Amino acid sequence: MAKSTDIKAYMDAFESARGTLPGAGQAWAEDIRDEAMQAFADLGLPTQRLEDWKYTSPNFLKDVDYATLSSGADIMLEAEKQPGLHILSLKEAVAHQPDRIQTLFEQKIEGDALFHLNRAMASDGLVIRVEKGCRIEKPVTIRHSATGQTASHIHHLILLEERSALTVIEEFTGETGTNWTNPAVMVEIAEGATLQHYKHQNAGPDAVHTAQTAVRIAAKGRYDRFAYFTGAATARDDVRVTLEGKDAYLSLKGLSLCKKGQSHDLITCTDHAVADTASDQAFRGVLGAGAKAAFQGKVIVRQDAQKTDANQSFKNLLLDRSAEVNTKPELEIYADDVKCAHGATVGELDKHALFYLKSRGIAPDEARALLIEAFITDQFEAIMNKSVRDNFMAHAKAWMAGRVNL
Amino acid sequence: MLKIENLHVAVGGKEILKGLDLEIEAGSVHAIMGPNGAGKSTLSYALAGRDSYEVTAGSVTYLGKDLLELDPHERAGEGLFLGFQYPVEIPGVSTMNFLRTSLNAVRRYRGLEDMDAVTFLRLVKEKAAALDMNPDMLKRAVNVGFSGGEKKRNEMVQMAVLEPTLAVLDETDSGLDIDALKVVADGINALRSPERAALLITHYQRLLDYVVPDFVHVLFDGKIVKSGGKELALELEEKGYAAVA
Repeated sequence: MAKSTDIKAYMDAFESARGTLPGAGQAWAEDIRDEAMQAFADLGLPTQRLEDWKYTSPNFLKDVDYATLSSGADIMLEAEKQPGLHILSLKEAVAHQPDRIQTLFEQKIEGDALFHLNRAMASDGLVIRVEKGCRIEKPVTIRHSATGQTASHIHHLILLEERSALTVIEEFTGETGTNWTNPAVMVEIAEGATLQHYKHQNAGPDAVHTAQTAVRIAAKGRYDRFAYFTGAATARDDVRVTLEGKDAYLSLKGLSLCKKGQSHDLITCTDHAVADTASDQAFRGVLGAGAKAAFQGKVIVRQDAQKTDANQSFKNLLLDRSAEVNTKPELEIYADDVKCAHGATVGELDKHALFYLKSRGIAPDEARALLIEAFITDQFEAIMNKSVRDNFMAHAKAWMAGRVNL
Repeated sequence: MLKIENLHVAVGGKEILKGLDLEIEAGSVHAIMGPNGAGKSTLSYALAGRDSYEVTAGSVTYLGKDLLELDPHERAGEGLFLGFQYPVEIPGVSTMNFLRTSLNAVRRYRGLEDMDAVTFLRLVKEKAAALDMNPDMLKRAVNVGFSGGEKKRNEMVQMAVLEPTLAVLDETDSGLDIDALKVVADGINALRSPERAALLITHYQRLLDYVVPDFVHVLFDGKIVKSGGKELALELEEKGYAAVA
């Protein structure tokens, strides 16, 4: 049998699965899948020589024969019926609304082999659409849980029409077992629309999570994203956003709580394509002994994108000298009237603050825990949805309680 | 209450305190004055037990215990309070949470139960009001975005809540306008009692107009070179340290 490292194994798997995938028998969908598989084959599996894969070892693709594994992610949807909100499974949407779906499904993330593989193999997913002017109050929660030794390619499409609003919560959990989840989320935010997007990656201890998110924001649109990463052995979150209209706004925030045996890599690429757009990015990591995390943020300011305002900040707390963190802010600026700021810090707990707390009677362990919690709380402030913030905080507290040598 | 004998303290290998002697009785207020670099802050940090302040010789006895054997949080548990010259900003920890954690830590050290939330809230509001602190500030992160005066006021609120037996106040008066200075002085005076004592470390005599000390000491080059009553402060202000020392 061919090994996973061999592209042919994936092509074989694709050929045998394609008849069962959403859109099977529909020419346009088949064409997209063929083209995606070809793009994947041309690129080949990622290697650490690729800039984006510098900090994540793609060895997991060699260790397990993922190509031959079947899909094993359950998707649970929690959403109340609300006027203007339409949710279909990928299969239903492809069958019943081909015109609307085609353009979204055609969108590519160039140069990303795993995204092409996702598009070729996408077996499940949701298509969420909010009608013009409808502001959906209750969040839509998508829970993914992976089982056993499986490989799942999930493809969600989120479409917000003009002046609509929605909150989406994505959660990834899973059992032990080397399951690989390779999800893609394609988002389109029309003029004046707002999407709050929260994600908790809490996959199983042996899991691999490689996610791609591509977002386009039209004029006066707004996209707020918070990625909370705590699970998986190897996890990547690759987010690419294009600000395509005047006064488009982007907020990309994230937190990684990373312990021994884990590798978290949060990657963003922000493309300011036109004038008068703003982006604000802030990521934090709390790393225990032997943990490994990376934060890579690229900001592109196109020649016409005057008056761009782009901020980037990376802050990391190393709880042990054996933790490893890499931060890589990257700016590509072609316009001359822009404001771009970036900063990165990597450190241990603030000694002055520790002494201040101890001098007030707080024992060293409690003082350390308080400061770690503060570092996390401060980051969660970016989350506008209170129940999401509270849930994440409760989870983070349990995470801290479980750490030895805080 | 506090007895410091022949205290030598080095910071980064450099000796700053060079044989300091000082004795403080319960019920008294002492002021230590001295020029920059004399070792005023070193004394306060050494008493509070800061890591990088290495005691190379001498002893400090506090309420019959060897203070130098205790960790900083144990010293606080024993009733020692250091008012910081530069209070530290702690993003992500609300002032209220900080005060509660601190008070309960000290109470637990003393074998008391945690204070219930309602009693605590009432206590803090009362203390904050007495020190003219806007209650909204209690919800904000500790000292983050506070002005210099607000930070010092916050130190006084902490002191009022913890009710220390011995308060060591390191230049609590610096950076305060006259109104804030009066408020801070009221805070210190409110804690004066036969069981408590205070050590005021200051550059200027100004604070001593409002908190009248029982004793004034001149710290110069790591030693106390002169001690006297409150009139010594005026003499220092008039003639300068060099003349007096």
